[in-house]
Amino acid sequence: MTYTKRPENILEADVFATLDQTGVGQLVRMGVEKGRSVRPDLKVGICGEHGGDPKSVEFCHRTGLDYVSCSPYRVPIARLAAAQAVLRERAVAARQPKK
Amino acid sequence: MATRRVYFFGGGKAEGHGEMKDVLGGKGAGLAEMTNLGVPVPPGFTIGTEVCNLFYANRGKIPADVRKEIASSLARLEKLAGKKLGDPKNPLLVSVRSGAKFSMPGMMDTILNLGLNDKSVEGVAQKSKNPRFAYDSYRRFLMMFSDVVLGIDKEHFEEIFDQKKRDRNVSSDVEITAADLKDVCGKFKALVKARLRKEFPQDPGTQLDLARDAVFKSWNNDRAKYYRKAHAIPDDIGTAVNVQAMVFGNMGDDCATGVGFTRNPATGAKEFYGEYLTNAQGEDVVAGIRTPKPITALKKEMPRVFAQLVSITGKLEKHYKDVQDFEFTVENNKLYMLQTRNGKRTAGAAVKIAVDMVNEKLIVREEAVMRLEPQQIDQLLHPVIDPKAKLEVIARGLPASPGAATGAVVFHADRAVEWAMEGKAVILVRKETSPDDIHGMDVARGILTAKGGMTSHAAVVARQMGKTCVAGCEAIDVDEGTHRFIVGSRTIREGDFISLNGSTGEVILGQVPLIAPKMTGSFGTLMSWADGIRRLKVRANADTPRDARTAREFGAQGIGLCRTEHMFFAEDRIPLMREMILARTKDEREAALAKLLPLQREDFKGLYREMKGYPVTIRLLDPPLHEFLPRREELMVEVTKLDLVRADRSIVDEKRRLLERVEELHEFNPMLGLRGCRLGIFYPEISRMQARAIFEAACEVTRDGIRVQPEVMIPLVSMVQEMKAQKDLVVAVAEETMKRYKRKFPYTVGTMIELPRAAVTADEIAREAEFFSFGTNDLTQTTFGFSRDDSGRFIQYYMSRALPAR
Repeated sequence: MTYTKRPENILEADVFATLDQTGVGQLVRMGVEKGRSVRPDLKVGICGEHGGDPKSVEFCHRTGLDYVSCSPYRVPIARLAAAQAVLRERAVAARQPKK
Repeated sequence: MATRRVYFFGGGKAEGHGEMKDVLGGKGAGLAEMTNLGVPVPPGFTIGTEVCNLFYANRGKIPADVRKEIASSLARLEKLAGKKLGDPKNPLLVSVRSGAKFSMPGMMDTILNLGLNDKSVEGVAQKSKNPRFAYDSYRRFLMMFSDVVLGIDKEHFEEIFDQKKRDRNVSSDVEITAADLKDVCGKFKALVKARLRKEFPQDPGTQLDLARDAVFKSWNNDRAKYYRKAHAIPDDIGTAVNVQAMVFGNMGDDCATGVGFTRNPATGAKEFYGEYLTNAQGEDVVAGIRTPKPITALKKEMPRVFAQLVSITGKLEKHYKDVQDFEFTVENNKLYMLQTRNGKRTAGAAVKIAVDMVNEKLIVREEAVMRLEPQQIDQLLHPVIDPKAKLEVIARGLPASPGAATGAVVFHADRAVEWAMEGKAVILVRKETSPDDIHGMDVARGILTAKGGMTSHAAVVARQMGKTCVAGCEAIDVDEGTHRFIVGSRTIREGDFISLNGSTGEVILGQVPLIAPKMTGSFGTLMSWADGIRRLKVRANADTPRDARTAREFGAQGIGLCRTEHMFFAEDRIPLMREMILARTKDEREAALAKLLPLQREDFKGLYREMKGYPVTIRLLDPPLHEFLPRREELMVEVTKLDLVRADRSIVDEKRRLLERVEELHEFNPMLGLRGCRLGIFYPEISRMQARAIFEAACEVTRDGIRVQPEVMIPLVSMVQEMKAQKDLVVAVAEETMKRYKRKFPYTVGTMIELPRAAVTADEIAREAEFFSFGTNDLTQTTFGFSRDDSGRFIQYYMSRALPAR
C-alpha cells in the first residue's frame, strides 16, 4: 500500500456524452436568453447526443428549453429524466425557506 | 464529549440510526435501524466513515482517542454477549466488514470468525460440543485473514485443503474430520510463517486492528476504484467498519444461513424469494460452492423460523417502503438478521415494484417515478429473441438476468474488452465470475457461468448492469485455459457464436434474431405518470420512416432532427449524389438534383405520415461533399491499377475525372470547411431542391388529410446574414409550392445553434430564425476545440488519470 497522491482527473465525464454545463452550457443559456429577448415565443430545443443523457436533460429543463431530441431508443429515458427534473426542482423549492 | 466516531448497537437499542448512511455507511445504518426496530440482530459496533479518512490523513494510523472509543465499545459488546475476545474458555468471535454509503458488491473484503487462535478454538470446540465446527471455523478464518489482511493468495491455502481431501479420498468439505481440519490449520499457519517469517497473529486484539486497517486499505484497491468510477461514487466518502458478534449457521442441522428478497428481483413479482443452506456459513451461499435450496423449502424444514422470517422482512419492507435484500442466519433454531438493504433489481422488476407499491398505497406516484434510474430503463428497451425463430437449445442454466444476447464466445475479461473495442458483440463465458472480471462483463452483451446460484457474483452484477446472464449452467464444462467449453458431445471454441435467453436460462447455438420490446403493462403506466409530470417535450432524431415509427412507439412528440444526408448515402442514391457533386455547370448540377428530388420527396412523405401532425424538423444538407465521394488514396490506387492493366479508356477517364474532383474538394479541415449552410449558400440549387422536396411532400400528404408541421433547419449558421440568405430562399420555395398545390399549413424556418458565434449573437440570429435547436455535438467540439473524431484517446485519459495504470 502506497500513500502517494495520484494525479487528479481533468474531466469527470465525457463531454460528448454529458453536456459540459460550465462552459458549453453557458453558451446554451446565453443563446436562449438572447434569442428570447428579441423573439419571446422562440421555440428552443436540443438535438445532440446529449438529448438522451439524464443529467443533460435536467439541465435543459432548468434552462427553459421546450424540448430535447434524442435517438428513438433513448426517448423513454429522456421522458423519465424530464419528469424527474421537475420533481427534483419541486424538492429543492420545498426546502427553500418561505419568504 | 467530543463527536462520536464509534457507534454501538445491540440489546434492542443503537447509538446510530438508519438516516446516518454518511456516517455509518449503508450496512452500519441498516444494522442500527434494525436494532432500533426490535429486529433480532447480533450486537456490535460501527467504526464511522470519518475514521477511514483519518486513517488516510494519518498515513495509516488510527488516532489514540478513536482507539479508546473502539476499546470501550468492544468491552460493551463483550459484556452484552457474555463472552470475551480471546477467552480460551468462552471466546467472543466477531465479523469485520466494510460498509460504504453506497453498496459496492464484491468490492470490499470481509473477515469472519475473528478472535480464533490456538487456545480459543478449543474453547469453541468445548462450548459447541462440536470440534469439527471449531476447527472448520479456524481453518476458514486463517485462510480469509491471510488472504485479505496478510496478502497471501487464498489459492495456496485451497491447495493444501484440496490435497487433504485427495489424501482422504473425499470430494466435499463436510466429509473432512475434525482431526484433519486441525492438521490443515497447522499447515496453514506453517505456510504463513514460511511466507512472512513470522507467526500468524495469535492475539485477537492485534487481529482486530489489522482487520480494521485492511478494510480501510481495501477502500482504495483497484476493484473498488473501478467500481466507484463506473458508478460515479466519490472517492473521499470512505467506508465504515462493522464489528459484530458472530452467529453460526454451521453448528448442526438446526442451523442455516441464507439470503433473500421480499420480492422477486428479476421479475418484480410479489413473492418471497431467496436461497439458503443448512449447516453452512454465509459465504457458502454466495460463493456457489454448494448449490443452495430455494427459500420455500425452509417452510418445511424450520416452519417457526420461516414464519418469523416472513413477518420480520415484511415489516422491514413496510418500514423502508422498498424491496429488502436480506441476509439471515439460524443458530440452533434461533433466527438472526445479519443485514437488510434496498434490493438491487432488474429494470423490469424496478418498474413493476414501483407501480405495485403505488397500488398498495406504500408510496405515491411521484415517488415511483423517482425510484427508477433513467439509465436503467435502457434494459427494458433491449431486444428479446424473436418468438418465431427456430432455436437450437444446447444447455439450460438459471435465468439470472433477463433479456437476450447474441455474440461471439470469449473466456477472459481482457479478451472481451479487446474484441468489444473492435466492435464485436461478445458473450463472456466463465466457470464463475469474480470482481476481477468486471471490465469484461461491462463490455459483454451477455454472461454465461457454469457455477453459482441466482445470488452469485455473476447474477448480481449482471442484473445491476442490465446484462443478460445465464448462471449456474452445470451442463457446460468450461476450460478457460484452452478457450473452449464442452456441452454434451459438442465443443464450443472462442469466437463461435452463441445466444443467451436470460429470462429462461436457455443457451442457444449460433446467432438468433432479436426483436425490439414494446411499451406496455407497468412500464406504460409508469411512463404515463412521468408524462403527467414533465414539462419538457421529447422528440427523436430520426432519418427514416422506420426510425420515426420506433420513435412514436417510444412516445416521441415529434422529430427534432432529420439528417437529410443519411438519405443520400443509400446505395441507389449515392451515384445520383456523385453525379450532382461532379457536375461542372449549374445546369448539369440541376439535372442531377432533379433526379434526387422525387426520391427525397418520398422520404419526407414517409416521415410526415408516421408523425401524423407532430412537428418534423428537417435539417438541410450538412456534411462536406467529399463524404459522398470515394477516398482520395483509394481512387489513386485504382487509377494506377487500371492504367497497368490497360483498361478501357473511357473507364479510366471517368475515374480520373472523379479523382480530379475529389482533389478539388479536398480540405485540410473538412469539419471547419465547406459544409452546413455554407454549402447551401455556395450551391443554392441544393437548398432549393431540398426545400421543394420538403414542401411538395407536405402538400401531397395533406391531400390525404394528414396534418403536417415542417420545420426547416439551417445548419452551422454563425452569422445572421447566412441565416437570412437561406431563410429567404426556403420561404420563397415554400410559398411558391403551397400556391402551386393550393395548400396552406404552418411551417417555420430556424437554425441549429452549434457554433460559439451563433450563441453569442443569438439575439441577431433570432430576428430571422423562428426556432433554435442546439446542436451540442458540434457546439462542444467547437467550444472546446476538441475534434470528436480524434479526442477519444485524450478524453479517456483526462477521465482516468486518477486510476492506476493498466
